[in-house]
Amino acid sequence: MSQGNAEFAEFFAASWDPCLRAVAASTGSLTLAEDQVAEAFARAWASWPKVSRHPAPRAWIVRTALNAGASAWYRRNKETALASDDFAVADSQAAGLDTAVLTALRRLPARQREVIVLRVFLDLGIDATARQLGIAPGTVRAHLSRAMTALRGELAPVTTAGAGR
Amino acid sequence: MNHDDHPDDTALAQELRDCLSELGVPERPSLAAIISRGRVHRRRWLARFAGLGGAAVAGLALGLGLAGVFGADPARRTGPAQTAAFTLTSYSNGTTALNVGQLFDPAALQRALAQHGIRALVKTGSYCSSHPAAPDPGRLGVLSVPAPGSPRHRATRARSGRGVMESGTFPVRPSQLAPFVDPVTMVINPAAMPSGTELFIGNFNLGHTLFLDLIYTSAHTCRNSRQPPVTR
Repeated sequence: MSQGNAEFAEFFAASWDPCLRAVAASTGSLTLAEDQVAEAFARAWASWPKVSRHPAPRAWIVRTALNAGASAWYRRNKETALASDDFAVADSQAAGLDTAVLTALRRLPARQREVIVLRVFLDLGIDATARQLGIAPGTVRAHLSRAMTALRGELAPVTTAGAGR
Repeated sequence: MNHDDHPDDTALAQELRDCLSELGVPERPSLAAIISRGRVHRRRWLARFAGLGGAAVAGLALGLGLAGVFGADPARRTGPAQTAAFTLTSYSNGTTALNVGQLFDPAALQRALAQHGIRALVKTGSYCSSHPAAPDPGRLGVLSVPAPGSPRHRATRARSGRGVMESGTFPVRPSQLAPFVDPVTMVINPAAMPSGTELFIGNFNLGHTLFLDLIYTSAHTCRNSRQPPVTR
């Protein structure tokens, strides 16, 4: 195995689960996410000399996977943004993706959800998240703040139940 | 999460992470399966790159550090206009090399191109086209892209930039450059642009794609799109 392939194999083994979880949480479909993430890793292998130099290869995988899903969506002539709840398909329940937290996450606008995925799930910094999404760091903060506020609002009845008056 | 975030955010972020970590995921596919799928992509890109299959679309695997190709050109006329996202370098033969990264400010690039005498319309997430279509920018010699990894490109690099315009370029029409991982360098010759036309540069987040074509300034339409059309 060449050095490049060995590096890719190591990256693939270490990153498959977290990337798949992040994409599945965002799309609501483990089946769809599995295919999208496999596609993203395949593209990463094909461009490994470049992807390996990317400052956040896992973020590259997740964004490519989400874009691949959106591209497939376009190919089906359904001009629906990634935000569509239609991505939350039937296997979400079977895959354990129907928890209150993840359901609330999928109710967020697409951009806010992308920020959560990159900033919280992949633990990217504000600046790195901004670079990934092509937006200003201040915009990332704004999206993050709105997303967290929305999630707190969605989850408050659950997380504070029985807390007393 | 930073310490200056909302006090509840750290706990909420941890709750999100915990929830995610509890997701059961299927066993990952074999590495061989991923590589096999990747080979399909690689072959497809190379086929497009070489202009095989009669496809009108030129898709390029990008990012081989092409800025160095132009860096030592003794014919350089002006210093490069550089920002964090793109570099423009003018040459004595009237051409301009544009090195552009994945993220750039469309308005800033459009202004910089204008300063280099290049009429251009630069947009992100929007596709503009003429009706009828403007002439092929590759055939006119308006636009060319060095072919990364090609023998001619390697030879060009070995000559430290000499003869870049003559031997290291590939015409493209329309120029759909993806995946857009690293910066790409293209050569623009504004003198070859027909009167009444301008260069359209569209940056699309979907698939990290850059799209370039000629359009008529007074007869084009634009529409929002997350990706460019597959063919013109």
